[in-house]
Amino acid sequence: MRKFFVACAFATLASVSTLLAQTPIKIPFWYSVGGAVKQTIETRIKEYNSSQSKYQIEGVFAGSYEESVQKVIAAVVAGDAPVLIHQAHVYAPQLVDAGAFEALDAYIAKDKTFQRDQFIESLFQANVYKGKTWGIAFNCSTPIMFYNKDMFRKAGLDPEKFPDTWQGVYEASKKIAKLGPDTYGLTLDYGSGWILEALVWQFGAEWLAKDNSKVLWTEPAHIEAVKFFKRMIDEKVAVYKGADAALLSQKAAIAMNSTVNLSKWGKSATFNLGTAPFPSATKKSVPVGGGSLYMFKRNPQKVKDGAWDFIKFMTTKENQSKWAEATGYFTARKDSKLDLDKGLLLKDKRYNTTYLQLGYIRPENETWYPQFLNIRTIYNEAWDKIMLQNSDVKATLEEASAKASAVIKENS
Amino acid sequence: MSPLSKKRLKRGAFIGLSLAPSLVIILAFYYFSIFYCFGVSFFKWNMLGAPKFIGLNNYVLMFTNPDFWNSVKVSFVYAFWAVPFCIVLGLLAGLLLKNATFGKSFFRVMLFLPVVISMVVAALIWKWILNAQAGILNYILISVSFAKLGDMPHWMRWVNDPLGGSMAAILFVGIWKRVGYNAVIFLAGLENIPLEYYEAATLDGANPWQKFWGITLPLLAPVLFFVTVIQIIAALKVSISPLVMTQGGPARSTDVFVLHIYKEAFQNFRMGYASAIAVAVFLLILVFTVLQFRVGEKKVHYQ
Repeated sequence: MRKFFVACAFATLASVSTLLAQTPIKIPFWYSVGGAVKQTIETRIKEYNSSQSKYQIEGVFAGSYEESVQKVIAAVVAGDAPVLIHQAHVYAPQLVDAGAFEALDAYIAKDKTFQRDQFIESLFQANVYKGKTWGIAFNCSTPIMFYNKDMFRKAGLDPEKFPDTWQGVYEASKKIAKLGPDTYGLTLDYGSGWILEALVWQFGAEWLAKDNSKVLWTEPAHIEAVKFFKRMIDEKVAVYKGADAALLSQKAAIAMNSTVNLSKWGKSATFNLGTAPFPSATKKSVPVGGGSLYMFKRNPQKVKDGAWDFIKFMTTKENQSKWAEATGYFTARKDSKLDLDKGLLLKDKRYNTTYLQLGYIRPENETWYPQFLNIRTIYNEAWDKIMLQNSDVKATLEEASAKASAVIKENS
Repeated sequence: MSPLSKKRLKRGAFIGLSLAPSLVIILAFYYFSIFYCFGVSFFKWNMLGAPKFIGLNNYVLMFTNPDFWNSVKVSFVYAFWAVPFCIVLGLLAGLLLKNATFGKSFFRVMLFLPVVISMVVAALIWKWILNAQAGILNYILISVSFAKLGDMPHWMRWVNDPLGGSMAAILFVGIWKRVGYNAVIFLAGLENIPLEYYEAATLDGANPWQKFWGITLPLLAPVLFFVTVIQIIAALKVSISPLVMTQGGPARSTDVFVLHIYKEAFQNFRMGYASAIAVAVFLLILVFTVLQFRVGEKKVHYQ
């Protein structure tokens, strides 16, 4: 009788342990981009899960970047964070500072199949902070110029040659504005604020000191940059905000927005839509925005290994090519860029514009300052005041600088 | 134990148990949250790090921050316009519903439809109606030559106008949505006025205007008082229309209390500071309401 029970116990133990060994490790993955891109992510996740049985990625759409970061922070505080997240670069610093993320250098070094040298260096470096790699580039984009080729032609401008200086854009806008009583050249919609960084950098000015100690909004070059755009708006050759409606209804000819917008505007434009890299005044410079994949530290090692495996899967040459084709975001790899050159970028040269700017990209929040977004709001409001309430450029920027300094002081 | 006190005990237990679920929820989600908020307002906390006790520093920062005073101004400006319009229009609508000789159900539906749709939906609809380039209102104004697209008065930029247009935009939504609600409350109040008073007044030769001022308004006073108090509190707590339509901008021209608190807490991650603002707003509305009750006690006649 006793032998029977012992045998049963062993049998149960054996079956349970094989069951446990076969149950794939669940890895929650929260991502922050919806629409058509969401479909692409879900497809990749399904592919990954069916390609192996060790790990199971559970993808959850956590809303926009703003919504998902709130959820992530609440989860971290509650001790309930997922394993993998996709989050915007600008939100990463506070999570890095809080020690929430796992540095990926060890994984990169150990794993020979990762092919670190195939990554586009500037995109990879955007995720490096204090010598450690915190995330892997996932959906990067730069803003580009969109313009209405038909309106350019009507105004007597060469539709295939977008001006490469801001003075040139100004001249072009003047000509286009003559086409009608409420027609404009340039539209200025700053989005999250990254467009303003681009404009300021292109005039040789800076935004935040490299040591995060102060903002540089009242430097002469910076004030000149803002004055330049104010003049365009005052002269009614440019319009502030409302770019979407203005461009698509052909009341304005030029817009500045993320390259990802190509899929949206490319489909809904009833005119010849062209794209071009940003012009410059003294310097070529654009911000690189978007998100990366980050891994949380407080998880068992085998779970983290699974997360790393998925990161590798998403960044293979084939998957990067498929990703860039389906979404319009950058591919992070040089070899898949070569594939794209023969595919999507050959079919539609406009998708290549963003790559033309790769040589001079800077991360939006390149000093990884946790209060970046707070300060950016103050800055955006200053532009609103200047452009919409006609307030004095220097005085408004000084006022905004003072506010920003208060925030910096409070958090130092 | 005597049978009577046993019965009382049983009754007490029954009442207690019936109230318990609601009490637990109210205590946990309202009172606990309010006290927690009071507590957090004395700390500096960004949710990720440890909270740091800083005493009254948040309050000092708040009172010296022009953005706080801006949100006080914006909220009061909103209430200043929203409350009278909601009450007067609501009263007119209530009178309409009471005295209409035809189409009563039609008016009832048209007035109450805005009330029942979600505020987010209402805000989105109005955001498009008031779109400066493509919205229907500006389209009409431009087609009757009131303005040109390239040369319109600043307020026609609606949600993009920091000088009054954006405030007007959220006022439109707020008032449009609320009038039907007030109308129904006023209707109930109006129905409670005995018709004999009106008949007696007619016999005495009173005209409709005199009837309104002499009978309707005084007898509606309790209802008016109630609606005013509720309306002021609701107006000071407005949040969804500015969130959906303007996000508090442009240039903070629609940065009402609730939005300001939300942005400080969940965009800037300044939990302590945002809690301090919440406490201040709570006390402000409390004081305001108490004042109203004091005034109301003297002026409102109950029958």
